[in-house]
Amino acid sequence: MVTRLPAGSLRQLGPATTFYAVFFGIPLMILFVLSFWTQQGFERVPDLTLRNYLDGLTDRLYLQVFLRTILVGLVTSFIVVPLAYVMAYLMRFTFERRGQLLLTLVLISLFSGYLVRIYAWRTILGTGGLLNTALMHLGLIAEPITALIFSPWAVMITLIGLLLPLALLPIWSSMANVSRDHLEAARDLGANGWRLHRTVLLPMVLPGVSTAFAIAFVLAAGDFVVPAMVGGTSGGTLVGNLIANQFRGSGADWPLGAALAFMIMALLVFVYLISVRLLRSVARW
Amino acid sequence: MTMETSMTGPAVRLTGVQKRFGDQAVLHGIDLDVAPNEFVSLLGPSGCGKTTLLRIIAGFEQVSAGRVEVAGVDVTGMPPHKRPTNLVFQRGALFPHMTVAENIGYSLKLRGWPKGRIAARVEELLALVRLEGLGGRGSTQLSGGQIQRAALARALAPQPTVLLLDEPLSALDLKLRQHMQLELRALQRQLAATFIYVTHDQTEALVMSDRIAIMDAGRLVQVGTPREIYTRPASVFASDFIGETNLVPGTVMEVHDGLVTLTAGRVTRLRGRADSPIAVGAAATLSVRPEAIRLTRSDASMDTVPPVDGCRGQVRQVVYLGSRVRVEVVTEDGITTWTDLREDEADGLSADDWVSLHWNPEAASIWAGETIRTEA
Ligand SMILES: Nc1ncnc2c1ncn2[C@@H]1O[C@H](COP(=O)(O)OP(=O)(O)OP(=O)(O)O)[C@@H](O)[C@H]1O
Ligand SMILES: [Mg+2]
Repeated sequence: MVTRLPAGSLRQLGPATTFYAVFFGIPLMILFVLSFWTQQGFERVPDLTLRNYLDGLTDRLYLQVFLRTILVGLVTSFIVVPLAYVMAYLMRFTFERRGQLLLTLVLISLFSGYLVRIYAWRTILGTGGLLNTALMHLGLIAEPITALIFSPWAVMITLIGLLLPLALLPIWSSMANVSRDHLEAARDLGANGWRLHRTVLLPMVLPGVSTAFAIAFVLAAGDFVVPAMVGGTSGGTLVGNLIANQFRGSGADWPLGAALAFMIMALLVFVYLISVRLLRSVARW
Repeated sequence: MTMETSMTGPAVRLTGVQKRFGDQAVLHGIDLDVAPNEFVSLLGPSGCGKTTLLRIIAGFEQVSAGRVEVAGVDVTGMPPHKRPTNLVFQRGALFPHMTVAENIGYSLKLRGWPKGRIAARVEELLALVRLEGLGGRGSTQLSGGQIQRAALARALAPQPTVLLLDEPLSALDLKLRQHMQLELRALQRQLAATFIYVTHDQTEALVMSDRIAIMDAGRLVQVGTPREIYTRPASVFASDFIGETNLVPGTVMEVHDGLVTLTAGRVTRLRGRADSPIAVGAAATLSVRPEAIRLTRSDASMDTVPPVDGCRGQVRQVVYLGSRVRVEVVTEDGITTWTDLREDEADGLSADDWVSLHWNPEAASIWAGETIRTEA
């Protein structure tokens, strides 16, 4: 589905564009210029070198982290988005009025703040946490499962918990435009189950699903707080941590950090575009 | 292009269909046969259960008791996507992410038809509903009437045994609605298709239907041809709901060969036919259509002999309706009646004139029971 902007809408977008340029474009440009400089001790020297990029592309550790970041981003969003779709569907078409209530609860949960929610997940997943204690009380396990916390799994579970409400909102709001009549018309004409979703509901809410995917993927791949807090040292590091490390402490290397940031940005955009194309081809009737 | 209707039995047979939502009973045992190629309207006031009944036939609601058969097959528990019925929705419900042609071809694509065959069939249907050349339009770029035509074509595409329509014209303005009524009726004849049409508009039902099924509070109160229902309504409700009528409450004075004489007020004696048994002394209601009443001037207000088969009164107002003139008369006993006259018949008639009203007793219906007006 192509959305054409009516003539004149560019002018209306003026204020937004200006805002975007000042608060996003300019810092980005500074960072871009910085990525070609060199770091000498504590000094950052203006330069025009590609060394930072080459370093990023040749270091095995960096490549491993890139790959893991993309994987965590993809796996997380491939779990979060379908889950959010199913929840939005149930809330819109099965629970109806109670669904509205549920949505309010989801919104309220978002007010509790990012860090608070990460801590909440930590208490759930920790060795002495809610989940392990419950499983042990039920006699399902004898020892606490240590892999629940400080592992890539812990990062993913926490990210899913954090991102689900954010992915739910855009899908829910596109579903508000779909009437029950549309679904019934499809069933009446011979579609049901998966075909109904693939040919009617999914294409109708595709803008919301793409937005949800972008939010989930970019936030999951770009997060560096969750890995630091529940990822531990053993392989929970994501590219966000790597970049953050280049901008602080004794071994700081801003130009390298900037180059890494641009590389991961390009990579994310690339993976996002491919994923959305994939999604479009599925949601074809 | 005609629909294959080689069946011998009814296209749709409803047997004892009941429906309750929680503890609210919405349908109380509906029995109805719809013949192949028949146009049947379900007509009744808002909330009487028309949509619910239609959705039960389509498969979107399950019966609480009873049976639904389509073309001799029991479809009572069958899901909608497997039923040989298709539904036209009140607001069209076209898929916004598809063009008009894609909407119409949707069911055929689901059935795995090859592209070429779908395209040919879609063209045929576009021509049928007079949307030639609009197949490439987005379904949001259509007028209200065009949306309903496209929705109709979409529902006809898989050649359903029965087409179900839920007030498909109610969102259109009067002129277009009247035009589409005739068009829809012609199309149904041309296709020799079976249509079940829900409406709460009695004119629409009269214009389009082979038979009308009148519903009231979850029950069928009368099923018959428009003419039968108009001329011999089976109840006060039916007579009031279809067309316009004068309802006069009274007491049965005499019954003779089905002809009943009522007393209403001090001096008024009215006659009409009762199709159901009625006892002398019982309360009863007479219904007589405005156009069945003949009006004569009677200049003597002191005339002491009341007219047989009618009553006498004073004109309150004369209303010009274009093709007719409607006269409101208040009788000696204070009963308000409406009479329709041709314009020349009403010439010179004015308020406070004394008149007598008469009618053929065969043209008036009488039922036992109090008069209960239904809301229009
Ligand atoms: N899903 C439902 N749950 C509960 N009650 C319902 C449901 N659908 C319909 N009803 C009730 O059943 C009754 C009949 O509704 P229905 O929609 O069949 O009426 P209708 O004759 O089509 O009226 P209208 O002319 O206003 O469309 C109404 O009282 C309605 O409130
Ligand atoms: Mg209805």
